Amino acid sequence: MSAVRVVVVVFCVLAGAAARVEGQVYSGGDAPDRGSIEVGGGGNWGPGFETGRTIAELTRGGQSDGFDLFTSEEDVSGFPGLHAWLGFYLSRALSLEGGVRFSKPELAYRLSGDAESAPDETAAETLSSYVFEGSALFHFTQAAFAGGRGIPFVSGGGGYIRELHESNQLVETGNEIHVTGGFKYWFGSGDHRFGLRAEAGISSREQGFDKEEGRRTLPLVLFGAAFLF
Amino acid sequence: MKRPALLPVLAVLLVVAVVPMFGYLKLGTRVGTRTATLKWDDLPIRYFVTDRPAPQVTQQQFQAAITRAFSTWEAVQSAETSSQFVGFTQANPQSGDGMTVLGFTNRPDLDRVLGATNFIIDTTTADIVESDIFFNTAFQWSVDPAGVPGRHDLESIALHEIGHLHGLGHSAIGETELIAGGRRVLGAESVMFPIAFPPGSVNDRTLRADDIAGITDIYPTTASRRERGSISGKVTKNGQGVLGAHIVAFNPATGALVGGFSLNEDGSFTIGGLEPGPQVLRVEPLDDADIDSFFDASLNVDVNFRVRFHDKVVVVPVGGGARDVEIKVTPK
Repeated sequence: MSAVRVVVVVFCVLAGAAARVEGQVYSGGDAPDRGSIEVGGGGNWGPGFETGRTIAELTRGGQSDGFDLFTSEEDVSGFPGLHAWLGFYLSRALSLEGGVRFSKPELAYRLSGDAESAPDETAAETLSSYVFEGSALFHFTQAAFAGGRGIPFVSGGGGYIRELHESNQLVETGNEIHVTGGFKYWFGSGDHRFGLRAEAGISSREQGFDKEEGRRTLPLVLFGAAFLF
Repeated sequence: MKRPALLPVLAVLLVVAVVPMFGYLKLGTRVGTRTATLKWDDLPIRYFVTDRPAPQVTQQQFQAAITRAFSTWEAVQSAETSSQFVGFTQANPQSGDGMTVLGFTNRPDLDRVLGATNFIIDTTTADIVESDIFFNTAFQWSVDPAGVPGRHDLESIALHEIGHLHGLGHSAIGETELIAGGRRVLGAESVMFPIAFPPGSVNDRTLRADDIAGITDIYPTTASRRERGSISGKVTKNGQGVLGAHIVAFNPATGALVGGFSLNEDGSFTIGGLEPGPQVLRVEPLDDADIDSFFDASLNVDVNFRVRFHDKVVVVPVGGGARDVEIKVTPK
């Protein structure tokens, strides 16, 4: 008797699942449907880093090594910023997004070791950094949690960096690629829903204000609120 | 009709009844109510070489070294200059003969002058009409590629003098120490620094960022006009302008050092020919060479202030200027 009940229950669940898939309502998670559009905004954070050390060096008359006039050590502060995105679901698992990240890192030059004993000084400027990005997201709908409201995802993409120096008179450009992983948590289950999103990963950038040769890879944290329609 | 006027300028004892205008020091002169930069209007610069050798330097070696030095200036991609060797001449390198002549001259009376440049200019336009350079055979010379101990490198000194010939004044990007009988150069980052490296050194055969900025400022190409920028502002002490302060712009991305001077009583300065990007500024008094290497002795050049860095990064825009920079210094 109990064996029969088990069979019946399993059958009902599977049948129900099949019906939901055909009706695009439910698939074991509360994932948005194909054709859904997600718009969101929030914050982002990247860590500070040292960009380098440069010696203001004079040439000596007869020696190969130079005469150090002073030294400049450059670093960039950790930069919190804003993030906005617009996504389109190609399927329940796959979506494409375009977005922009904005932050205002401070670039500081610590000047020291002056040959004529000028007092050490830190000269700084604040940049306006924009990353215009495109990403593909894969949602693990089968790994949904919290009753189907939470959906893990991974994301990968690239972007165009546009950075303005403090006076806004000089623009420097570069490129960025990123890979992140995180989750979305949707409130409700209808076509129009509000949700939260958090992700972390790495961002690899080249050029822009950063004069590092080659790419510089840094952690990246993104979070925000989204609306689905 | 041009009206030539004689304007003698000793390269090592530079000038300035002739008012320096801008940057590194460009040579300038009053034309009416304005100050104009000395420059060649008619290019190529056609020059002769005196048919006179010096010990261990033949006429041909001398001419070859001079040609290399001209070529070094002409190789600056951001500037547009050219020259043409016309031939050897019996004429001395002296003004007034209508020819630009470079050659050896024995001047034992000028016991601290390796070489000197003088000009004839059109006082209505500040165009250089003629310029002559002598190299003093009171000193020993070499054209050896590696240099010869005890002998001054002709090509290095020629590069400096030909910088003057193009209209550049002296740069102050260098550090010296006082020794018996003069100063010893600890380091310099401009061929246009007024004090030469010791005999045997060939390190001044290569132009530095400061030299390139200077020649670019006077003879810019169309592209460099569009791409390079400037910094202007003033140096003040207790609210008053500082005349003769030496300001150095340092580009941390490239390591380039380009200098300029505050040239008026209000302390105003402009450094042109700079590559775009963030620059760090350092200001110092003129204490590494004789002041009259840069300014006329009658000017009230202020050397009574402390060296300091500007506390803000200055960003040079593409083809434009970063303006209104004020650097406040304090008395010693």
